[in-house]
Amino acid sequence: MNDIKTLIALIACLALGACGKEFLEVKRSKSQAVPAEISDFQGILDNWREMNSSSSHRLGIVGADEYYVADNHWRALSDPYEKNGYIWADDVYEGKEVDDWNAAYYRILLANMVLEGTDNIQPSPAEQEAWDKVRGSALFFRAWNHYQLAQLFCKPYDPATASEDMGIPLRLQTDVTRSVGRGTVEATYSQIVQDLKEAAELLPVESLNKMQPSRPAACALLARALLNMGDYAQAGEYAGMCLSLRDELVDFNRLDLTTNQLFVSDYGASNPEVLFFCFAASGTITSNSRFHADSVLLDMYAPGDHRLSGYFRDIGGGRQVFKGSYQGGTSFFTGLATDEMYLIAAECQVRNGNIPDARNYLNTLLEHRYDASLFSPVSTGDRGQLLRIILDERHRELVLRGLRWEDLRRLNKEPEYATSVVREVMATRYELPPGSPRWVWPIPDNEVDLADIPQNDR
Amino acid sequence: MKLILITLFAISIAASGAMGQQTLRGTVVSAADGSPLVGASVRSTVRGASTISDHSGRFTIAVAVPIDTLRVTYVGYVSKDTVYIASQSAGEMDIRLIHDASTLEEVVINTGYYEVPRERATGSFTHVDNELLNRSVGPDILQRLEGIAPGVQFVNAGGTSPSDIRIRGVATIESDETPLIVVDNFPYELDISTINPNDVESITVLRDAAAASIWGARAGNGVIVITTKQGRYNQKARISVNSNFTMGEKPDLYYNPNRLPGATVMEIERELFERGNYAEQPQTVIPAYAELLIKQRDGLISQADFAKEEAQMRQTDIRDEALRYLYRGERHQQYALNISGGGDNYRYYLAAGYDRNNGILVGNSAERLNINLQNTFRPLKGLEVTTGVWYTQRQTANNGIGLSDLAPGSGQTVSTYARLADDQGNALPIPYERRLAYYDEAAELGLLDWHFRPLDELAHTDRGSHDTEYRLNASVRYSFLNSFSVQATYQYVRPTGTSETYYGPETYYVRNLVNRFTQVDGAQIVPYGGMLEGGLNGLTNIHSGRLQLNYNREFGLHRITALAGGEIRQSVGQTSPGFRIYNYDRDLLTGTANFNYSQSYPTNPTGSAQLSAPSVSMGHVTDRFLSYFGNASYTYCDRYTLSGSLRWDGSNLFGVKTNQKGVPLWSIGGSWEASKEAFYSVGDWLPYLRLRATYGSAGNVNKQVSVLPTINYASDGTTGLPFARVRNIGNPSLRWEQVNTVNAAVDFGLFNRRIQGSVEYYNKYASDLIGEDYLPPSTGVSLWATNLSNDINYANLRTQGWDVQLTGRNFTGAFSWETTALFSQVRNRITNFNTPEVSTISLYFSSPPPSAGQSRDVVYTYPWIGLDHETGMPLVEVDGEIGMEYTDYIRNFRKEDLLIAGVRIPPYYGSLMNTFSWNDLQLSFNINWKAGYVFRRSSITPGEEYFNVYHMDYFRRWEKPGDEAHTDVPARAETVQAYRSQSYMYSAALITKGDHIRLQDIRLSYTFARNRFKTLPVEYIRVYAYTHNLGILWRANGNGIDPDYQLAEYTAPRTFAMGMQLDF
Repeated sequence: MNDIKTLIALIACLALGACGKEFLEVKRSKSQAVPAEISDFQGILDNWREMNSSSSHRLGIVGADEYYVADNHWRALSDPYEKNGYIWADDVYEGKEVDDWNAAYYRILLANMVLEGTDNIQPSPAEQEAWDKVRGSALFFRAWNHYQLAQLFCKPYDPATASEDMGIPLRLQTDVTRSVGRGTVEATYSQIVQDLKEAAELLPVESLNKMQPSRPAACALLARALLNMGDYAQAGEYAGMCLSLRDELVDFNRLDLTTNQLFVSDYGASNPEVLFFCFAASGTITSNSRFHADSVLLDMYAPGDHRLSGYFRDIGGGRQVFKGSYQGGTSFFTGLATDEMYLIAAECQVRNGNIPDARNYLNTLLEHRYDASLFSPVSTGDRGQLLRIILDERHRELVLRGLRWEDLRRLNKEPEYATSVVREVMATRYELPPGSPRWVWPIPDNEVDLADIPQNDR
Repeated sequence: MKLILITLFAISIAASGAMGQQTLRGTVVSAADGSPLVGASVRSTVRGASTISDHSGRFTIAVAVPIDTLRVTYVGYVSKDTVYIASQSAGEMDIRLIHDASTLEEVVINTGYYEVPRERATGSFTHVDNELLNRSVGPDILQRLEGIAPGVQFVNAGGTSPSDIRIRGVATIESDETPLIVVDNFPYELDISTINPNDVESITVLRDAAAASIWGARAGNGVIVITTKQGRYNQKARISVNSNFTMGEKPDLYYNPNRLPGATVMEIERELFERGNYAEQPQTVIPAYAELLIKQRDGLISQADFAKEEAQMRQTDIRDEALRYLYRGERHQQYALNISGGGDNYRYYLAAGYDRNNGILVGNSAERLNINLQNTFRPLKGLEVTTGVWYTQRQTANNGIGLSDLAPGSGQTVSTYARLADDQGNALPIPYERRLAYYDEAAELGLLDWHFRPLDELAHTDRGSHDTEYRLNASVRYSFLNSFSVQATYQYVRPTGTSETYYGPETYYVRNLVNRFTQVDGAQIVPYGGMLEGGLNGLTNIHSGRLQLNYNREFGLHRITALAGGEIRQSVGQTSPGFRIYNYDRDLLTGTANFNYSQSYPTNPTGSAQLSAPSVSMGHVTDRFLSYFGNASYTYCDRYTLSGSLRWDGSNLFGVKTNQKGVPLWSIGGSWEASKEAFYSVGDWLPYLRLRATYGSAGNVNKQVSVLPTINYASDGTTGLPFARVRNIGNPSLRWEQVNTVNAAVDFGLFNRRIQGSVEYYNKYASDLIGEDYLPPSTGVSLWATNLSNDINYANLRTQGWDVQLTGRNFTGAFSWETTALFSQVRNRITNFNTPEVSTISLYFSSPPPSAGQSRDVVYTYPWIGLDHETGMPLVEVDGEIGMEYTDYIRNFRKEDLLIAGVRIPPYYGSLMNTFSWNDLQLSFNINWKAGYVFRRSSITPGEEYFNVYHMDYFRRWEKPGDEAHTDVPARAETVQAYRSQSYMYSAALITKGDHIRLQDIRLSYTFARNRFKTLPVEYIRVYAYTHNLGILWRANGNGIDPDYQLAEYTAPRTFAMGMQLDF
């Protein structure tokens, strides 16, 4: 009978589910977590391989006029977006998914996760600083990616039509079951500006590295977005605010212009101009083995301009390749830097009628670019002439930053600054004239199918 | 379950009465070899008690004093009555039963939790005994199941791991679809190739719910139970030695059609050269022939030398070169020794095995050492203690260089005209990563020789891995109250593994690294010397424990067996980072790793880079499982059996609420042996007939899913900050996948049981299958977010099929002939799919997304009209017009218009094994067949040859009007048009039937037994010869493709083995 008692005890022990609960509570992988702490959310944004690389500038770089490729190289391209994007073809993607689109929305999803997660955290006074930073960073990243998408997939901002033109789907929540539609260009830009203004309040002036957003970076992006919207008063204000926090420039007179790469590859750490570090791979069409720098651009550099030899390298066969990326390698720097702020400040000042300040901003930048012995400051007092110089300076300075496509779109609304882009491929001439619907890339096919949203005109 | 057991208790106590009785113990063994008979029915006819022998054949029974008669019955054996006289008989009684040749072979099935004679099992089991397992020769145990186990399908021919096997089709879409492997009663989720097949006694495959549900949440894909050999009580020491040697043929490298003769490749390269296609810059690799043409153009080579080198290229073929220097016939040696035996209270099994394999690539070899020792004691009445130790050590060398390793860059293939050694046997360079012409200048640039010479790499690299595994088992079993036993089992498994590569200073690997980081002033950032790299170190500790109560009782015509228990398991896997030592001296063990990893250096020939920082990646994964289980079966009159099982499984799934960590699973089943009924009237021609049916549920665990968002932390070498990757965005409504299976079967024996067989029908309903939701990419979930899982319960799948097994003893006597035929049919269909259908047509060809009403294995195609008479380009139909508007055609192609070519996994397969014996000589051969499936063969589309895509169809291309009558291969083109290519590549023109019949193997053996050869110093000697991969007997396709090796470089080479087995 003792046996029976033992037995019953055994059965009872096995039947006890209570001890099992604790046993199953242990975490599976030590490196795994359900994000709950501020540091978890900061960790998500510190994943720079997602947040700061492969920025959504590829289509803009492919479609702009900073380079050309030879027929044999064009023919050998296999990626549809490069081959078709180069000639702004009807069908750009041939059914393939579009990295610029996918990557930007992935980053927006991560930013939204951080925003929703930190909403639930009531920070203690000791945590307030970290909480502000992570929320400010998430808002910055969301705005940054919405802004890039707006440059590719919806019409340029025009105050007259912005409230009717189709925008990009604005994703402000992580809920993947929500459908958001296309909204308007007005809504797109006002969300971007709103996010950035909030971010600028929350972000610290200094970040741990250049891949983390900072207050100067938020001001810089605000200046860029507002310039794009034609709000020169506010754009100038934010460019000035940015420069009041960080105004350093690299003096090209002190650089060794003969090296294979003008800058070192250290994620912007040693380049004081870099406000926010971000880059896009060079792809195939704009890689050093195919790229020809646009001859019009090369001709625009005056004698004594260090940028010609600093930015470009003759590799024989009549080809000049680009070597001036702030990324320090063959990838293109697509982030934010002080040189652009000087140019935005100058443009806004001249557009607002403040010629002397505009000249000052411009000359400060140029001093750092020209051979000191050959440099003569810009002295014109003519508004139109000065604006022309500043706009050309953008072309010369911001090479392969992904900004040329934006500038072409924006300036095409002003007939005196409008430009047609022309390609000659296999004896066929392709032209992208101002006002063409092809200044807007098509929405990816699978997005149109699955989200059931209207496609852009082509 | 608790309640049932207590009730069973009460019954047993009531049955055990009180007066004039004595307890008798004994063992039931087979008269032939003394092996214990498990589950034999023992009845004391006077006292009226009954019991069943346990797993070692032992029983304890109440008998009447002074005299009683024990009646022992066991299926497949002649029943025996033994008189017991209290005053004369000893306390122990050995009962030896004689095999009844007229009945079915008795098979005891081991499920890992209990053993049951096949006659009383309701579920669907496939049992593979020792003899059948040992028919084939080789180092891997799972491979031996190919073609001999019904319902077990090898989706990868010759596979050696569970993922190569499907048991009765599939029951999931994106979760783990590998069957569960159980070794000696515990799940074994490590590398199964550590097991020495010579140590395996038998394999049981659990196919339906009643069989598998005892294994619960992991049983949805079927279970393969491997039972190792053990010693037996009262058996004199037996020594068995087995040794064999296998030789393989050299592979047929010309099998792969995706190459062109060197001369053709050279023509293509000349054309590309003339088009100016090659970017002549240091960092871009250019084919050797193009380099030669550049030299000629630039006047760097005399016309005579050019002609000489060109001629040399024309007559070289890399496949001949590779066969000469890189590939060889496989060699395998196997030695196994085991000693087993036992006394009254002790039994043991001791074994050692050594395998050595020289792989098909020169420089690849593997060694395996297995040692195992098992002891069982009976220190006290009713108590049995078993301990076992297994030790496996494996060492591999992986220095082999195959054809694919010679590719100059990603997406490229080695030129057919490449040469590996000159006439004197000196290693020659081939283009690799950068331009040959640039490498030629290395010395002038102050750099080390930069050429890549494959044969030198082979000689100066030493890459190997080493792993060991300990497995300890301990088990205590105590039997009491006649019918009960309680068993506690514990297992500890500890696999560890390391890998290391030494690169000599002569290797390209070292020279390349040094050269890349050599500065303009000649400073070498990376010191020139040997390098040692250590891979990730892995260490796993697995503890498993089980407590189980068994009840086994027979009274009158009733027989009840039941068990209940709990199981607990923890596996902790740790990985620690590898290392890299520069300037390593093998003799002095000196080296350095002291570098500035954050400094960016200019590199040759272009760019700048940092030295890759040492890895700091650590891993620590804990898997925990907790299960409660119960199983009971009741047999009445040896005719009617009812069985049922219940199990609850829990695991520490991450990101799941506590109440979702477990799942309850169950099964019921019944069987009826109709031929035992009194009214059974067709016994003359159908002497055995049994019907079985079961229903139940099993599950499938997906460890990746999460209802909560989850992140994974890692360290970042660039920023020095920790960062987190988002793995899951979370889905609060996730449920476990579940598989419900119905199984119905007939077992029969015909014509005096000369023909025996079984026919089984099953239907598996898998529901709540988990898979990726297909969302608009603006949600953030897209192909881009590869680390992100967004799983939902999105589909149901139904798999149904038949398994038929027939064995005929065509002749018996001195000459005998036995035939076993297996036939299986299996089909699956997605019955419900609740996410949006994927609209990107191209995905339906690469990896078809699930689609309601279709098989999971469906193959889609575009329709094929033919080639245009004028241009030789594919014709397509757009809006009823036949033409060549490829863009309109493909862009507007709708999913509904895709043709369904068939399925890629054979829905019909089987085998036919014939065994002929003449006295001690035995010959057997096994023929396998697969039918009813298709595959998409490779070809070449217009212009692809200019993008490094080669195929022998190049010579079958359309060349002039009229060719379209006898070829489907389109004409050449200057460049590739993706849509035009797709309209051919994914069309019905390339759909190929997979049906084929294959002669899998032949075995011939002769046994010298002592009863015939009186002077033989051993019990018997068996010599055998075995040949495998004999090739295809018939195939439906006329393209020379072996459907089991559709895209392989070569088919499995034929092997030939000779061996000898000695038993002392």
